[in-house]
Amino acid sequence: MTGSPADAPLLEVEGLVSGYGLQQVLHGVHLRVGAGEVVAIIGPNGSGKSTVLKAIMGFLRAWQGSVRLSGQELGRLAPHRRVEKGIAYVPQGRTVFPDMTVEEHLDLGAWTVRDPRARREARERVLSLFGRLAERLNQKAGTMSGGEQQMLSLARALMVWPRLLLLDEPTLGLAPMMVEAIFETIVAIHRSGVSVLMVEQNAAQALQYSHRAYVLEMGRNRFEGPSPALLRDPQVRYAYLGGKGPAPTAG
Amino acid sequence: MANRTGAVAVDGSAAPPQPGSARPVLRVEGVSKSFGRLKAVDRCFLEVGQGEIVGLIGPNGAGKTTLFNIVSGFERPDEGRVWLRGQDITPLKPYQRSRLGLGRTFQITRLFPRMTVWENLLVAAPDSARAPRRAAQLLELVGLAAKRDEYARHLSYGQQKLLELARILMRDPVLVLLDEPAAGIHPNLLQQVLALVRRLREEQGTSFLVVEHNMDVVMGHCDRVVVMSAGQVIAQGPPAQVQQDERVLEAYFGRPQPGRGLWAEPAADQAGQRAGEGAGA
Repeated sequence: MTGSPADAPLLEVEGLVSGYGLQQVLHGVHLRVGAGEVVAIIGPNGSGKSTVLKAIMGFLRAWQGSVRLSGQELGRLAPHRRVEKGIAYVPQGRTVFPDMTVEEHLDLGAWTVRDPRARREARERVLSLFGRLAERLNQKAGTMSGGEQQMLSLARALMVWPRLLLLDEPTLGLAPMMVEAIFETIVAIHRSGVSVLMVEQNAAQALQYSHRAYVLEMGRNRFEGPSPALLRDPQVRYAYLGGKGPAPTAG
Repeated sequence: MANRTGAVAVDGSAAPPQPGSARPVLRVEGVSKSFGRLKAVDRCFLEVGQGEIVGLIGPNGAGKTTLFNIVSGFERPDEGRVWLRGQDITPLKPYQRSRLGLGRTFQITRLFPRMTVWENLLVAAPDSARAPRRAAQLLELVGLAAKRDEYARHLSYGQQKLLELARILMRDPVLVLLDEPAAGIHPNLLQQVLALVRRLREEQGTSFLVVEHNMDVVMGHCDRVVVMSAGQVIAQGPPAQVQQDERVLEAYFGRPQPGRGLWAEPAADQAGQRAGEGAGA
């Protein structure tokens, strides 16, 4: 193990190799998330974005490489142990239970929090972030719109009040107005002190709503840097179609 | 692209597209399919000519797999028709389409894991006297002759894909649908698959429709690329043209929303109410 926890980044992934069964998806991916950062992972379909999150969360084993949280190697730690260490995860798709109420989802999210005071505090913070949910504690999730269900997934994950929130395609399949609302919520989550690592298909907006980003391609790092610079770089856009883009003009 | 008549023969007896060499092997005509309120495929038109390798691409959720399922008969379209060599195959089941020369591979291979490589090939043509000879040829062609008596489940993922392709070729298809042939296979095996595709096209005039995320494969090996987004075909043309198409780039990359975000773009034309909101605020 290298570096003292004091100066280690919140999350550090190095040389990550993983995949499903015989199928290798990641071929040595690296990334970092510093405390207080919003970091995006973007890249074409099948580039391994979601796989990175699953490996960080421990749903997939890292075949090689390391995942460190504040300098501590997570190794083969089970997913729920990672939650206890301060990582929360919102999977792709709206993974709410249709017959359960908002309240029940929040309780479920706080399952691993044993201290009643911590539970209460997390609940207050979450409800202040999600005003609309506070008004609907008794509503069943199945009767909510897609955007509201996604908000509920976020709220449920935040009930452990994590240091790092992993989001897998939080805006997938949502109407444009709801996409905007989800991104604004992510900003609010960031402002309340939670670091965010999000995988997004909506690259342009993910870059607008992050400090830094990594562009993956076929399971490897392709570009990385401050999001504003990546948003301006035409090479990043053309990378989505495997092209180099038009030849650069002078200047 | 050649101009085609819009006439559609409903009884299926007369071949509606133009006769001769210009007649496409596959014609997808105004096909739509909804799941609940989601319009997965929305009035799609698409053609594959003889000996043509056509790439079908688009962001996740664009409707590619649904369209594939409609062409191969695993889904029934709500409207529209599918023609194979001038024959309306819309009402036909997958096995009937297979007999007419349409083969498909799957994203996750669908072999019989507890049967040998050899048996997996023979099931494709159980009653054919020439099947054993053809199977032997194909094993040579895909480089699996040495694995003849192995169980399919003992093959590597890439070898399974080659076997699946060989099994389709047992029926000498006129059109092969390849669902992500490059996903998860070793680069060397991928080159083997691509060489095989080209060879079949050259020697037998086989046509291919390929869903693939690996853009190097799509742009380097397809004659034409069809791009879907939100259920619709938004562009088609030669790879180099599609790669520069603004609509395609936007479908993949999204569109920035002026003046929004975690950090504000300090562009002169956007200066205004949100300009003071910087990163790390």
